[in-house]
Amino acid sequence: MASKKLFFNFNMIMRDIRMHWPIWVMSMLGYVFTCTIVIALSTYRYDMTHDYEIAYRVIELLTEITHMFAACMGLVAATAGFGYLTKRRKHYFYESLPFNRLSLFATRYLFGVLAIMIPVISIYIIELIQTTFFGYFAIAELTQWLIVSTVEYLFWYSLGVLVITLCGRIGMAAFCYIALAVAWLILNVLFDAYSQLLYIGVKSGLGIMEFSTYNILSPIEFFTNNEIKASYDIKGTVVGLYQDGTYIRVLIAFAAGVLLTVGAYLLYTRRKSEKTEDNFVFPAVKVIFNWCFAFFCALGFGLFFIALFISAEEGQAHIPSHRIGILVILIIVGFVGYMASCMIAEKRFRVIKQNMVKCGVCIGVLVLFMIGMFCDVLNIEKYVPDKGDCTYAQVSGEYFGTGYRNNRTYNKAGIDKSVDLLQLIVDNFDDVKSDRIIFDDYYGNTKMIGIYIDMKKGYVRRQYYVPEGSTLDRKLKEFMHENSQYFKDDYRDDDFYDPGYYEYGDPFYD
Amino acid sequence: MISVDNLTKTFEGFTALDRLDLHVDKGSVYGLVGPNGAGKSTIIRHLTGIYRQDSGTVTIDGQEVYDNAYIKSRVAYIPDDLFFFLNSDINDMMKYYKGIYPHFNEDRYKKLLSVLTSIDPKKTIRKMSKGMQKQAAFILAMSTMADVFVLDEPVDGLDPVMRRQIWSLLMQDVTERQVTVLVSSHNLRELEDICDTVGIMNKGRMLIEKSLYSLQEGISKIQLAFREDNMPNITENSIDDIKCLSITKSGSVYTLIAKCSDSEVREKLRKYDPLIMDFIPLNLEEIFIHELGGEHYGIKEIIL
Repeated sequence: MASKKLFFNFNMIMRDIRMHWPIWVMSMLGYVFTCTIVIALSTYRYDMTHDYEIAYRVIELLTEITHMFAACMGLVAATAGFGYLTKRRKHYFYESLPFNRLSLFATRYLFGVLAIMIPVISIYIIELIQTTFFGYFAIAELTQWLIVSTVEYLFWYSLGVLVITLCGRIGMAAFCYIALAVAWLILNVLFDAYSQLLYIGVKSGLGIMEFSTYNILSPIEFFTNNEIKASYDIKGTVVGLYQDGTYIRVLIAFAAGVLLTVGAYLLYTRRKSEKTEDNFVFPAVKVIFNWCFAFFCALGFGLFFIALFISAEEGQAHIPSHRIGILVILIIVGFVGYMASCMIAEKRFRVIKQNMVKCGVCIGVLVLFMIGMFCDVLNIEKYVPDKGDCTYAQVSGEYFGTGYRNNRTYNKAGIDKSVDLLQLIVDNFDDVKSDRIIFDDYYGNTKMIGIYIDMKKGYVRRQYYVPEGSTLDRKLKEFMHENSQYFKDDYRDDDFYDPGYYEYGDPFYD
Repeated sequence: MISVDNLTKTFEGFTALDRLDLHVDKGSVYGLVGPNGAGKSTIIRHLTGIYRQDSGTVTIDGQEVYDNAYIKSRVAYIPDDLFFFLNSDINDMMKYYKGIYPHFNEDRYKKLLSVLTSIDPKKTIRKMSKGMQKQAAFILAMSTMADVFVLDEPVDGLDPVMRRQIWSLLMQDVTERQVTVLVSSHNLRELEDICDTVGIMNKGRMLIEKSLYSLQEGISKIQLAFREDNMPNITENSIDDIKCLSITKSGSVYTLIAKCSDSEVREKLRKYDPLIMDFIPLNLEEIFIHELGGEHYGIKEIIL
């Protein structure tokens, strides 16, 4: 006698569809509606008069919001199949049925894939029809969109499955998932804060994704961009840019999705049924949660508080000059964050006494991390890429041309000079750093210079605030003067011309 | 058929099952009894593949149960806490079970539905009373044509007539199809009527696992009536070599429960010259209470 369904159970899929179809249908309608509308609007945009521009923007905003909801609902519908992992009675019911865990996982995962793929494929078909009749897109572009969108959604779906496997309560799973998504976006914002606060650049294999305001999931962004011929970028997503025209990052995202799925399955098979309705199924996850929460609070909220409350003098938020002050604030906020995470995880308020030692270890590591950053133990701050590895460079700031206007240097000579400029700053910055961490008086005594270099792998992105009259300040002026032909202001749009930008004058001639 | 050896299960430091052994023969009915928190539901969840043991083995027909789809397809489980899909009637559930259990018998389902007439096939199960939900669970479980039935408080919430009907249907399966039944219940009087073997659990351990007959054989319940002018003072230690578990006196009648055979105690009690000496078989409830060390479950000494 053999079991009727050993690997995949169609009956269970149908049951899941019957249970979750309302949210699925809403999500699907949302996708189709928003994508179609935005494409249509984008097409007509160039024919519009100025009067219709505002109306267009309102509709566009509403469409984007609808699209966000549709995307979220799509992910909820997809992961709903695993919702039973957070309800004990339901979980015990499924575990007692004649399935092994592989078939339970595979069946539920497949349902999620269907929930994601059917809306995406529907849009693809609709746009294919539109293309056939109206010629909006090339089929190759649409297919490219299909692949990228699928990979993106599958990544976020796999992450959702992993999170729900790790958590025993739906509330905690939702909290962790949203926290991860938000952290992903905030990382981009924090990155700038860190680079200013700690004088660090970034030397990473993949770089950090560009921040975009709303598009966590962004097939619509692709359509919009594609239509206006801006680029084929999908911003702010895990897939990121593939500006070099290759699918390497798509493949990386796909591989990440596969890894997440495999990880989710392995954890699923080791999951203890009795842990259902606990916050965390595996004890190690609670530790990771506590640490991440503490670090996130310290480095996120801590920096925010420093900027907002301590340094809000003269109406301008900036950073206090003393490292000890920064450390103290981060320790306090880190401590609060750790204890808050314990309260969330343990579902009670009296947690401080029992967790003091663990918190102490976490804060100790945080302090070491901060000291490591201050001391630049990884030598990130002094890292200057090889010119041959660079693909793009941009320099902005007050040391050339017209002050804040960006000077974009796309050519090889520009890259060379930008790297030279970075080398110059790196070589001379120790003197400045010994004086103070960051500028004390934004408008008075410092000048800003920003250098952004894209490499074949990763990028360097730094902003420096150089005290006027310092050695570095003098050397920078000399460098700019010698290379004025490369760093001249090459951008001026008279429509947006603001004489205020030029109030600083030309530093060469100061 | 069912074999559990040296099974240990802990929940965050609390040992729910402690080197537990349990054995059920094919075609027999096994009653699992024990006080609240003894670990009955925990062992049942191991037998149905919900929990994975920390150590030991849990096998049905020689095969490990956990993560074994084939074995689970041969086991029908009725939990104490039933689950049905939202907005589903019994026919929806039947279709679901039919697609999952390889030997699901739709004809049997229809017959059972016609026997248990109080079930409205068009009514959402979740809106039914607890008793009706239990009946629905029974119909579905029995239609799976499983070889093993694992039942956790199966008749809790059913009226006496329906209880009798359910047990009768189950016994019919045991007789005709040689199914093996493991049932956990606090209703010891009912278990007494249906069980071949009884396992008494406490604090995660199996105290006794014997046939009902063997259990009754070792303990005697005797009623002694005396003339008023010949009323002896019988205490727990006054009968030679006999361990009395309980002595109660009501007027001129003593009721004794002793750990010995009938013939043994008969001889010892003759010296008191009772008017009447009557041996009454112990029911399971009395055995359960006395094996657990008295009315208050305060186990000081377990006598096997």
